[in-house]
Amino acid sequence: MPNLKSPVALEQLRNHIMTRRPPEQITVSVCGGTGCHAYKCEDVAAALRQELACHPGGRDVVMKVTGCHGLCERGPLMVIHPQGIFYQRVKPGDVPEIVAETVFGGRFIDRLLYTGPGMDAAALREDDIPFYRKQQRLIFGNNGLIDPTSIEDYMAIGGYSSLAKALFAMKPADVIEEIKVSGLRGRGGAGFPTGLKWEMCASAVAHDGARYVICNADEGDPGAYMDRSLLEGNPHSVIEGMIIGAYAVGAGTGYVYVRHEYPLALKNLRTALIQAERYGLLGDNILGSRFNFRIRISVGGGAFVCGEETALLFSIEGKPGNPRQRPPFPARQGLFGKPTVLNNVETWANVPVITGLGGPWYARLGTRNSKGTKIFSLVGKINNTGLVEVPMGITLREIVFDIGGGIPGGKGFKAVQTGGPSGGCLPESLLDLPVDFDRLIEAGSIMGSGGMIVMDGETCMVDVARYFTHFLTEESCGKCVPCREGLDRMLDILTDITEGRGRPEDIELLQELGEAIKSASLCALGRTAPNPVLSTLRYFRDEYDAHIRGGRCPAGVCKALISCSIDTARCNGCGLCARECPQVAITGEKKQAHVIDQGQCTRCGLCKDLCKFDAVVIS
Amino acid sequence: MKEINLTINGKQAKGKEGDTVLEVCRSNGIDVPALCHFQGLSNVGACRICVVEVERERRPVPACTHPAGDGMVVKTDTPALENHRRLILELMFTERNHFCMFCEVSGDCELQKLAYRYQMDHVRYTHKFPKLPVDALSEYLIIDHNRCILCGRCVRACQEVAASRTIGFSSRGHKTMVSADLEESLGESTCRLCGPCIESCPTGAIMNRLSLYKGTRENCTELQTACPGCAVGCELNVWIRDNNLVKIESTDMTGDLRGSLCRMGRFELLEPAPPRITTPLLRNKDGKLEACSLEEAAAAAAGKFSTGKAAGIFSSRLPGETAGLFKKFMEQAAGSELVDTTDGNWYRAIASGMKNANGNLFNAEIKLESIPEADFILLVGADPQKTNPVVSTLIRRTVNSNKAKLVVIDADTDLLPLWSYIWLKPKPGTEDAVIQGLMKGVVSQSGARRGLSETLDNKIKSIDLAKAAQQSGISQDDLLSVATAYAQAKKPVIIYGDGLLAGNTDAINDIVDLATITANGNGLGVLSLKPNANSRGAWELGLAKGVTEKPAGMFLLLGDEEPGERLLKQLKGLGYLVVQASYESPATEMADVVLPSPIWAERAGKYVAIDGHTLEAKRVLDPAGGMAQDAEVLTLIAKKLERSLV
Ligand SMILES: Cc1cc2nc3c(=O)[nH]c(=O)nc-3n(C[C@H](O)[C@H](O)[C@H](O)COP(=O)(O)O)c2cc1C
Ligand code: SF4
Ligand code: SF4
Ligand code: SF4
Repeated sequence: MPNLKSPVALEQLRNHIMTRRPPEQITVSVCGGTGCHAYKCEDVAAALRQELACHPGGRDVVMKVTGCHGLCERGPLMVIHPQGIFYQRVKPGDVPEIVAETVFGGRFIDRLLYTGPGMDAAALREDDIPFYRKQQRLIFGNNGLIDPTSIEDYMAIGGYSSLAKALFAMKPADVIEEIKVSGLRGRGGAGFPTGLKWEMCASAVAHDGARYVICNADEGDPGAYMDRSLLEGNPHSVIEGMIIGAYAVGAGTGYVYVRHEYPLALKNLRTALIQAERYGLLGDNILGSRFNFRIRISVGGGAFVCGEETALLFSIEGKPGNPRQRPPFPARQGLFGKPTVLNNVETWANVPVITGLGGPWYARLGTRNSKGTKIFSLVGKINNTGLVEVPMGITLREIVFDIGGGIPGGKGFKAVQTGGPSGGCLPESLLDLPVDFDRLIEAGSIMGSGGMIVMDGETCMVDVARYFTHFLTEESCGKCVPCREGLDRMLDILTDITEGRGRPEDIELLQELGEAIKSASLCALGRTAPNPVLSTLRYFRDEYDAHIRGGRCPAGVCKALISCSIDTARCNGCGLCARECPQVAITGEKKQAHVIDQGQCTRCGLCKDLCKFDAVVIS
Repeated sequence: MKEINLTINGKQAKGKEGDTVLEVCRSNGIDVPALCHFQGLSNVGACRICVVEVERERRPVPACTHPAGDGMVVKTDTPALENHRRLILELMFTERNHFCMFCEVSGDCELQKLAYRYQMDHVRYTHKFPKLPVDALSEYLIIDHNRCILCGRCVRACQEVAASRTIGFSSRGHKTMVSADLEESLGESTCRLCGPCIESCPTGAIMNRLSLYKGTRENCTELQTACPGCAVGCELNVWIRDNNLVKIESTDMTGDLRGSLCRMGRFELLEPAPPRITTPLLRNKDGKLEACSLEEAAAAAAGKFSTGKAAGIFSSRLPGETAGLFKKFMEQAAGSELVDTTDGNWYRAIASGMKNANGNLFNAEIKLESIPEADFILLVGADPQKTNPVVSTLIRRTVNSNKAKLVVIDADTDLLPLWSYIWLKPKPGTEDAVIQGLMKGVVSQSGARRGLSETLDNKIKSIDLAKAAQQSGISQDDLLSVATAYAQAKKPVIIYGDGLLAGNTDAINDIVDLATITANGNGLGVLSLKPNANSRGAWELGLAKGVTEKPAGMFLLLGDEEPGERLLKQLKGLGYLVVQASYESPATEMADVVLPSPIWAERAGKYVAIDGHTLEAKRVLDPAGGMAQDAEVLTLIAKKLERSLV
């Protein structure tokens, strides 16, 4: 195992790796990301391994289990190089055919190719798929190219050359300057300018010289998994970013704070750290530069609020993970009271790119105040769920319709919530809003860490507001009154409204509470928590009014405000609903129209889902 | 400290660099309300009542945590802020169950006062009316969760003042609860019953059981006096109503070393006591005690003294003035040199140890102020939690904040060993061997200080580490590792206590020697834990000489001290016994003449505390039954003996 003592040694190693990897090399990558795991990609990988072992030419084929490719909706995914053939929804049973036909035969298997709405022909390669075409996968694209457990794979795509550049061609202040010029803003939520944060830390007084850098991989957003996918799929990019950052601010120790529900991320990260140490990229005298830096892992307990930076610091210190008032800012007084830079996983992963290609290059991507790309996790009522990386400034419409493929089932777009549970819900009229930190805030939402939940026409926005407020009420740490009590009172009011007890004055109370919580809470959890309520009040006020004044739920969701009945003209008396109704509330003779006993019905909506003739009406 | 200038509500205000906005506001007479802030505790910015508008800040900031800056422009009372405060109060009042008319602190409650101030006369949100428990299992404290606003003042008081880790928060969000040792009842927790939590609580959520419904600030008088409980010498703020004690609080619990108080000062002084003696008593022909006039009793006592030489025993709980008079009385009126204090044996043990130290016995001892500065504390044969609880608090605080190493030798009753770096449990009565082992260890690690006396030099040479280990049952490794820590310490302190009295006063000699080896010119760094409020004062007056021959009779000036077993044994088989005491006790039952004595709250005078600090006890109650002060009684008896004490 080479312990690299100089940047030249690193380059030599890279060249050596490349000579063993001719361009014509056949490589089969199976996606091992979170989404594909749900579709049992490990079975596909096992089948492939076995098939190749049996095949006479199998020895010459390189097989890789990579990190997430993004198009999770169509998993398990497989890519065959050098042609770059992209197969989706691969089953273990398909593998022998793939090996025989495609790997060794060079022929496509049509049924495994991607087709989608609005496409004339099936897509052969990732680039042919609309989902990928509008993306700019600066950070995330490498996931598909490398085996995350192989440091050589990372080196083969140029890994650690940015580190060498920083250590030997730049002074710490130059690195900070480059980050500042790039305009990079934190990807973990608040969008704080990263270069500025580093500068604050580097210039802060540290009595014993101790400084820390921390990678926030808590990712408590339910439904978001971009940080996880980065750590699982390309841990070295995060590590390289952290070493560069540590060099820039003069930190000797780093921590990666990972939630314990991410075992694969932890495993791959551990492997990567060990490799980096063995190669002399971590530890004392990195690449012979006299710079010393080590990274430790801290495993988090999992509360959402532990992702908040001050809470996270306490948690690493072994104290209860509750936020504290800032100032002092962690950049001045952070971990163990020392100046500390804390950045999100994705922020760190951007650092090698910027260091390598230069701040000015990076600053050309994106909008005036939001540079570069951002990874979103696109979920909800959307055709292509998955992880997408897009340049800042792209519109919501492009993400939802061009990349996401629109809303399934013809149910129509109603809203998109950006920024996770405490983001705002933006309506159709804002679909042309460019995605950018400041524009989202103006619109009453946030970039957050990049959650994006799409809602269709059958969604009740009051119920959505209640749902997220409930989540946030439970996740509030309880330290400060506006968040702890304000959210709870808000939840009471929303529950009243969705259960038919709304009062006209409730709107004003919600508005007032929302603004008070937003302006006066101690940490960003409370300061963003009213977004779901305030944004729905702003854009979907008519739905509140319908609940409160009209006593109805337009989307037919709030059980207390709807009734289920059977349209006698449509019902042909098949009796399916009557057999399945858990309340036995439906009666009727065979081949006669059925009726629902309103006294028994709990409005669970099962009958509506079951009925093949659309005879159940919710009103 | 650099001065800074701010503009607050349009007016100029001055502050110091490092102040918070709240501090500047308050020192400039601008009343910014706050609930989770408590003077001297750390600030957390949790209640959001104190938020103010600061120019160039995007949103209101909590004044209690926000650093004041030069040139800062602050507004504290805009309509928006007032509305905001009212809203926060509404949230607090709907959160739990506040029924002020039934509440112990109604009238003194900070929450209630703010509600009046901001005219929060109704709430628009639905009350939660949660079902919450009341924890009433503790001897002295009651926690009523119905009135808790989760400000966390008690939690911080427990950590920062009591240096305990008993009270904390459990659960989170709106389910957060103040809880002892993670959901233990306070009565079954590690609570030390010291009470800063009560004092810090802004509402009626933590209460002093002994003071319940006895009075509010408005109908009580508050007076300051000194605590008679032990030798630490804390200051008390006593609430009085109709010549009754209502409540005892500290005068400055966060600022003063002797301010945190303990279970004795805060609670035990309020506890029901044995029956009082309010009139003089004489034993009649049938052998029964019978009330009489003070004149009669004084004459009877004088008569007894004339029958033979008396020994005089003085309670060192009584103030210096009384001690001086007592001494004079014994010498000049009773004509006896046989005097002692109730704790005289302790004094003699210390004195025998201290004769190795040069100069004044007590000057070699440290001030309490040295404890918080220590980086190493050796606690030998002492249980400060029992004898001087505030010392125990100081030790814990020092361990907490300085990361001082605490080494406990013996003392297995207190919780302190949990805080210690090493807890050595030698065989009973072998503390001297342990200390000698440490001496040897220290010298072998760092070499002895130059200029030690030859005797000490020889003593060290003669110590055999293996033998010390074998004798005490403490391994050589343990001895050496403690010795290493001790030798490395820059400000070590040794505290010892009554545990050594039982059988090993030799250890005190060794402690002094050990301290001498490492002494760095700032005194020896030793402190003995003295038992009574005025132990040191009475000893310094020479009252602890000891009764060296069998006296004919005895005069016991006991005041409000309870007689101990050792003393009671001494009272047997005497010719006569005169007892001057506040409470009935086995001693008064044996007495021929009983004279009344005021309790601590009814008398005044000076105490010399554990470390020489003097403090002034004031009379806060009128003496029960209009009884005479001790001095008057002594003077009267002397007069009957035709002696003057002036
Ligand atoms: C309730 C809450 C949860 C958060 N969770 C995360 C998280 O899971 N990951 C993350 O990177 N940042 C999270 N943040 C944001 C962090 O506080 C912090 O701003 C961020 O990690 C800083 O890194 P950046 O500048 O690179 O974005 C959270 C913030 C709040 C208020
Ligand atoms: S805003 Fe919420 S999560 Fe943040 S400190 Fe306050 S109570 Fe805790
Ligand atoms: S704690 Fe204060 S506000 Fe609550 S009931 Fe008692 S007096 Fe009223
Ligand atoms: S018990 Fe009192 S001091 Fe403690 S958190 Fe509740 S209100 Fe605050």
